[in-house]
Formats: sequence, structure tokens, C-alpha cells
Amino acid sequence: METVIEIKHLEKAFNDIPVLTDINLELKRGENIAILGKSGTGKSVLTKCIVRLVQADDGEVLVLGNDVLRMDDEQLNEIRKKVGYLFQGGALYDSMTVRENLEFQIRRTQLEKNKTELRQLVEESLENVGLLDAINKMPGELSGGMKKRIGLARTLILKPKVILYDEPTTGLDPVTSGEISELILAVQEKYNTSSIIITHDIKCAKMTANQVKIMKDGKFYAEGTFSELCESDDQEVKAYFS
Amino acid sequence: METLKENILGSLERFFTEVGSILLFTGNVIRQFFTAPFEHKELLKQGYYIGNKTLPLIAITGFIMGLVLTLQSRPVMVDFGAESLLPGMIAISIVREIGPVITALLCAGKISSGIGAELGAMKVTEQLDAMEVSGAKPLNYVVATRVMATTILVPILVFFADAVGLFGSFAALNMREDISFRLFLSLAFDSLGFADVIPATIKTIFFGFFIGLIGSYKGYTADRGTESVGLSANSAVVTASLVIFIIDLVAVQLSELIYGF
Amino acid sequence: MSKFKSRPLKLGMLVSVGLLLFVMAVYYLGSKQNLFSSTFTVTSHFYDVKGLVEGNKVRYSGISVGTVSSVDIISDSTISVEMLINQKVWEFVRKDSKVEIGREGLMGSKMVIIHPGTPEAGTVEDNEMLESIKAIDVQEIIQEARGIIDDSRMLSKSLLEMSEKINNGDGDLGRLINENTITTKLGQAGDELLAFAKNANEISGKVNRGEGDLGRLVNDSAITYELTFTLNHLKQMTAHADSVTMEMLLFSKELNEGEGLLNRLVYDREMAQHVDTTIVKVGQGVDEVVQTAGKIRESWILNLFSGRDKKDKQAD
Repeated sequence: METVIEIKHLEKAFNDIPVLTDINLELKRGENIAILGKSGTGKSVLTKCIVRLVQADDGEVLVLGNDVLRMDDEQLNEIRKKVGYLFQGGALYDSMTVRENLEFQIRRTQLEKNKTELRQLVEESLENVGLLDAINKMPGELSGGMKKRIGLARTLILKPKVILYDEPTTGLDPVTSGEISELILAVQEKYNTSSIIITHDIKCAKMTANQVKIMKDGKFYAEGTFSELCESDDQEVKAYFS
Repeated sequence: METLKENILGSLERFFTEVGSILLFTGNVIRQFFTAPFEHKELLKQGYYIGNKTLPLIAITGFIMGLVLTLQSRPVMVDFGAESLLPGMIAISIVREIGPVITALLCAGKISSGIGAELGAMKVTEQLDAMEVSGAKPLNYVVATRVMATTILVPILVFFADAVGLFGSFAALNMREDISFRLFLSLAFDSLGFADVIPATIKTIFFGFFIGLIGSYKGYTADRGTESVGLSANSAVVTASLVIFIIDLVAVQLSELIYGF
Repeated sequence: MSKFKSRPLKLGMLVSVGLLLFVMAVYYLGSKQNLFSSTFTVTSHFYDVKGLVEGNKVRYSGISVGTVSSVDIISDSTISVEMLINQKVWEFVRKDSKVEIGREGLMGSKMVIIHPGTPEAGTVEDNEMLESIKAIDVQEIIQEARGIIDDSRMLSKSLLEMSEKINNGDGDLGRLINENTITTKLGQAGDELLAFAKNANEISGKVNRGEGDLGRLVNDSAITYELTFTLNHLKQMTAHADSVTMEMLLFSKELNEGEGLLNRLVYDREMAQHVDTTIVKVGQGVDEVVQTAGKIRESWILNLFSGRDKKDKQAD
């Protein structure tokens, strides 16, 4: 199977305090990796390093075979088009309607598309997340779950190869969390994407992940399939599954 | 004693780092002015928004400013028997100093804090990151348009404030004595020269630029966390006001060097 | 890591300190405008500097050439003022230049004025002392003006007294204006003039009525008739003279325009000379006519004034 993302010996520190130390990771096509960990262990920093929202200090991040840390802005934009990123709160632009939010995402990358095509794309994306009705609403009028779904729709509009989910179920009720987890699976099935899912929601990880990694103090503490880790004797690991 | 010394050195270091960061940010923003794509739609939107938001405030303040200034200076001028010089004196003080500075301070309070809070919120909710990931540079789309809008609009607002201020001055004079609007205007404009208007206008362009820039900088560099939105709005106002006075100080000296007064 | 942190720090320090230095430099420039140009020093002593302070301007013939660098009290009646003056105007400041304290406008601050001296005295040297002159002070002007006002008040007072005396009839002028006898006399003189005019009137009346020689001359219609007759004769004579000239004109025209023999004759030089002499003679003839007429006029005037026997002479 083709390797989509490969991370080798990644290092990152803020103000001389290390956040990530010697991170290694390999994501294959069609595979989902869930990263579990407490707050402040550097999970978000890791995903941000992948799209270079945070500049890593050392190591290598290969996305589709290209080294993200050492490329110019144009190449980076090409890579970013292929890597979708779903932010914690959805990160919808407050001053734009849902439609404008989705259009904004493609206006830069697919300027050659005409208006009807653009509309079709937007509507198709919204239909994928089941929120076509909300097309003319402002983000302020939407609930947290809707925002996340529209955030996902905005990510999907570029048909990415990889999607990075930053805590997709945090702050949602269990039912909505389940819906989001199902949506992640549906998207993977439909577009054959690979994902890295950062979460501390065990249910979500169980539903979506082929592989689970547990992060502690900027390092992967344990890794394996969900059931493997479930049966682990380690107290730290057990704490997540109890 | 040692801690005091460390404190002073630490705050000095923080101050200089802040100044340097603002300058680097300024450089980046100016580079964005000349980098494609040019977001004229967003620029118009921001310009309209800024003008619309501040115009009534500036009109009222400008009027009161002219009125009060005239009422306050009139007794002294009457003592000297120089009432006829009053419109000229007021015109010069409004056009050269009070109009630009008051307008700029109001804009710092209104626009700079607004931009600071807006960008701070965008930063906290990762909207700026989302924009970055989508291939749109937030520095270009969000910051450069806002800075450009304030740079263009603040001088226009200052002209407006000057005009309303002069009208306020006329109203004040008319309360105390009988003076026709034409006479007032001719007295006021006789005393004004290009040496009054041009340095003041150039000054206001810089005011506008830094009002937008400081607000953007403070929002752009906000920490993650809800309270930092308020903090960035607050420090945007303080820093922008301070920068306005520093620019004013430098501008008065430069115009003195160039025009000789 | 430290590289990233120190770049804004260094830049910030550089710009902040640079800006601060600039601001300070410009302020310093403003107070001591001669900072960058070379200067020389002159001093002068005054009794009263009237509020002159360090930094005030020094003017030479109205041009700002320097600043006051210090004002010191030397003794209870002497104050030393030291001035920094631009090198460029050194040659124009002479040893006998005079220094005065003046004002910029009526309300402005004080300044030092250097009056140019004479070239013969030579250029002043560095640190040399210049003579001061007492300045004109607004206070002094007011004092002087007060004196003038007092004087004019005195003047108007004496004028008032004078006019009062005239009113009261004191002195010749007073009498002239106030006494009635003079007007009475003037009245009599007027009466006499009136009588004189009356007489004149009577005389002209007599002339009108044709009384006496003068009267007849003016009024007798017979004389007028005779005069008219003479004039008619004269008219006829001038008519004759006119026709002669006319004929001459026609003749010359024919000469010019005619054909054949006559024409040739005209363009012949000898013939032309003949014609010339003829014309001269004709001219003489006209002259004689004019003279005759003149004589007639004279004789007529003579007749007019001799009065009688006009019928014998008028035939001329």
C-alpha cells in the first residue's frame, strides 16, 4: 500500500521547551490513525507541522513524497490543496455565509471553474454532510455540530487525499459525536481518503481508527490497533480505556 | 535590587522585541500590498464598513471640538481685540493638529480595537489557520485589505472632521456675535496655506496606516484563549494611540525642518 | 532558537533608539539653529536688556544671522550680551557697527539688531566688543506721545482764549469784527456807487433815443441805408473778380485737355513760360483788386468816423 504521510524524527520546541521529540509516523492510503492524548501533549502541534502551520525545528515530514518542511510557498500551496484540515471549532469565517465559506476555499485553487460548476461543487459538498438547507446561513446561527460538519464540507470541496481531524467530536453531545464519527467513515469510503484523527474520545477512535497511537509528553507512548491497546497491561494506557 | 534590575531589563527587552516585531510585521504587510491577488472586493467592503462605522462619531466629535475650541479661545482674543483673527486661528489649529489627532484617536478607539478583536477572534477560532491552509494568505486577504482601507479612509475622515469642526467653530462664533458664513470662511481660509494642509494630510496617511496595522498586529499575534481577544483589542487601542502621538511628534519636527515653522 | 528571538529585539532597539535620537537632534537643532554652521562671537554691553534671553535671534539689517548665546550681569549697571553670528556675515560686521535691542513685532520676543557700520572701520574681530545704543522702547514712545498730547492741549487752550478775546472785541481784529461803524461807512460807499450807476444809465438812455452825435450815429437809419449800398457795390466787385478767376481756370483746363495746336502749345516749354508770366500778371491784377477793396474799406471807416459828407466819397 502506498504511503501518504511519513514523519521521521520530528522535533519542535516553543521557547526552549520541547513539545515534540522524535516523532515517527507512517500513514498508508485508505488508513485512519487516531492519536489519543491529554491536552497539551502536542497533538495539535503535530498536525499543524504536517501542513506547516507550525514550522518544525528538525526532522522530516513527507506528504505524498514531498518534504513539507523544506519547500517554497507555491509547492506548499499545492500540498495544502491535497491535505484537508478540519479545525476544532470548524473555523468557519464569521463574516461570510456558509456558501461563501465554501466558495472561499476553492476560489484560489480553482479559479478557472465557472459559476454553475462552482455552485454544483458547493451544493454537492454540503449534501455530503447533510446540511444543504444551511447554505445561506451565517456561522453564528449554527450549532457546534453543524459548524463542524460544514467545516468538513469545506474541507471536502477540494477532494483531498488526506484529512487531518483536530478533535472532531470535542464539545459535542454523544449522539452528535456518533454522527460525526460515522461521517468520517463515510467520507473515507466515498473518497478513499486517509486520515489522522486527533481525539480523546475513545468511542470515536474505536469507530474510525485502523491504528491508535497514544501520545504523552511529546512522544508516542504506545501504539497498535484499538483492540491491542484495549488489552494492554500498562496503567497509563488502561486509563484511556476505562 | 537584583530582581528590580531584572524586571527593568526584562520589560525593556519585551518593549524592544515588540517594536521589532511590529516593524517586521509592517514589512510583511507592505510586501502584501504589492503581491497578487489584490483583494479589491474585500478592500471596498472594509472601507465601507470603517467609514460607515466611524462617520457619525467623527461628525459629532468634530462639531463639538470646533465649538468648544472657539468658545474657549474667544475671550482671550477679545482681550487682545483680535476677534477677527479667531476664525483663522481656529482653522489653523483644527487643520494642523486637532482635526488629525482627535480623528486618529477616535479611529484608534473604534477601528483599531475592532480590527484587533476581530482578528483576535479569528486567530483564536483558528480561522486564520484555516485560511492559511486553504491557500489564501490571511496577511494578504485579511490584514493588507484592512490596513489599506484605514490608510485611505482616515485622511478622508480627517478632512470631514476638519470641515465639521470649522462649521462648529462658525456656530460658536454666531452664538456670540453676528458673522456671516462667507466672512467666516474667507477669514478661515485666508490663514490656511499649503504648508498647513500638506504636512497634516501626510501625517494622517501615516495615522491611518498604523491604526490598521496595530489593530491587525495585535489580533494576529493574539494568544489562544478567549480572554486574549479582549486583551488584543485593548492593547491595540493603547499602542495605536501611543504610535499616533509619536508620529505626530516626528511629523511636527519634520514639517518644521522642511517648511521652517 | 535564539536567532529567531533576537532579530525583532535587535531591530526594535535599533529603530527605537534611532527615532529617539532623531527627535532629540531636531529639538536641539531648533533651539540652537547654528549647530552645524561655523560662527564667531561678539559681545556688547547694555544698561538694560529689556527681557532679552538666551536663544533670541540676532539680526543684521533685518536678516537673521545668529543667536544670543549668553546674557550675564557684569555690574549693577552693565549687562553683557554674547552673540553667536554666522561666519558668512563676518565681513559685514564692522568695528563701528552698533548693537541695539529690538522687538519682533509689537508683541513678539526681544532680539538683538546689529546696525552696519562703515567699511573704513574694518571688519570686527572674534570676541570683540561692539558699542550698544539705547533701544527705542514702546514705553518711551508712549511717554513721548504723552508730551505731544500735553503740548497740543496747551495750544488748543490758547487758541480758545484768543477766540474769546476776539468775541469780546478786544484789539483791532476784535473791533473789525464787532463794531458797527465800519459797516455804516461801507453802506454809504454802496449808495454812491448806486448813484453813479444811475447816471450811466441815463447816458445810455440818451444815446438810445438818438440825442446828440453819438445817438444819431447809432440810431439814424439813413446812414445804415448808405452803408448797405456801399457793401452791395463791394459785393459786385468781388463777383467780377470771381468770374475772372473762373475764366482763368477754364482756360487752364482747356490747355490741359484740349487737342491740336493749342495742346501742343501747352506742352511747349516757351509757351508754358508765357502762360506762367500771364498767370503772374493775373495774380498782380487780383492783388490790385484786393488793394482797391482795401482802400474802399479804409475810406469807409474814415467816413464813418468823420461823420458827414459820406455821399461824396462812397462812389469809390
